[in-house]
Amino acid sequence: MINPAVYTGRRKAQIEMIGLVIIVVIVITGMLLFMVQKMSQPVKSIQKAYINKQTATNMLINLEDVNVVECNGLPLSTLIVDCAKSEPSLYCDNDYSSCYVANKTIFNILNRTLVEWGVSFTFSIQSNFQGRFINFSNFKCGSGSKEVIPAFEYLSLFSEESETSENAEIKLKICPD
Amino acid sequence: MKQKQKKAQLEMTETIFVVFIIIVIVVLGFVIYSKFQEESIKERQNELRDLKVVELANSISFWPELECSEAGGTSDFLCIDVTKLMVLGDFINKSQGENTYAASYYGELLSKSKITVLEIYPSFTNTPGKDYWEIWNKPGAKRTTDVVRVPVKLYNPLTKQYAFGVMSLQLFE
Repeated sequence: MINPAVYTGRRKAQIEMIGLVIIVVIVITGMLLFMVQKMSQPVKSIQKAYINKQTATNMLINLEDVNVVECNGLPLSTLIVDCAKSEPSLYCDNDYSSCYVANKTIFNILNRTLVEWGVSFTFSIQSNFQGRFINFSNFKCGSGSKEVIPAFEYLSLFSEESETSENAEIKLKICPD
Repeated sequence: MKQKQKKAQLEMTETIFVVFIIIVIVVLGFVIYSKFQEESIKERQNELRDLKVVELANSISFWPELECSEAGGTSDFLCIDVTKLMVLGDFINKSQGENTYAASYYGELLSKSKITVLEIYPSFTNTPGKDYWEIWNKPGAKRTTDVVRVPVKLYNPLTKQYAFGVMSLQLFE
């Protein structure tokens, strides 16, 4: 027959052991939950966004001044402005319109740069007269691209002396990976 | 008396056991957390390096040895003079072999890196000297940044025409 005092002592020890195990399990579970939560948070990369925005801005700034070989060396901005007006009037070599040549030139440049580098982007040029008349994109900009601020450039469609202030809006958005 | 001593020893053992288990859990948790933090810090370090490379590219386009210039002293943003580019590339290349001030100056400024310029439009043949220029090429053993590409304007003062180009920079260790 078991001594009641011994029996109580063993019982107490068992209960203490169970208590210890419960504490250990709770602590481990808490750590696991913390790690899972930390891993599931997307890493916010401000630097990457800044680099993408800078690249987009630099692309647009440099694109405008490029002299188009197929159009007597006229700057690309001249072709874009002409194409954005209600009645484009400029014709390049072989009677190609300014819109066609501008489209082709921009396509070549984007293809040899952003597309070649595997970058997701959207590029468009629009005006009140022509709507969105040039539009390129590579891959689909995912949900993370909502936070990306696109780069803009505006080209005035008329001379400074004109009273109207119509612009062609050039927009380039480079999306994160 | 003996029974009390034994009980005390048992309780002591139990306490030591509990403390040991808690220490093990805390140390394990700390090790795992440090591993995650290490990865995060390395990622941030890489991004900051990339940012440094972009800043270097922006500053290079304003070097007097490369920047576009006109009479009157104006300079365009991210514009490189093609004629200066040809000269600088040859000059740096030549000074590498000689122990000159130029070699140590550019060596200190650019250290282990590779900087090239490629014309994208209108010419795109990747021909050295015609539409591809190597400003600096001293790669180290280990690549520390991705290739950072910066769009630039390439100005030819002889034809007064602008081409579209890309400056590629990469740092090494």
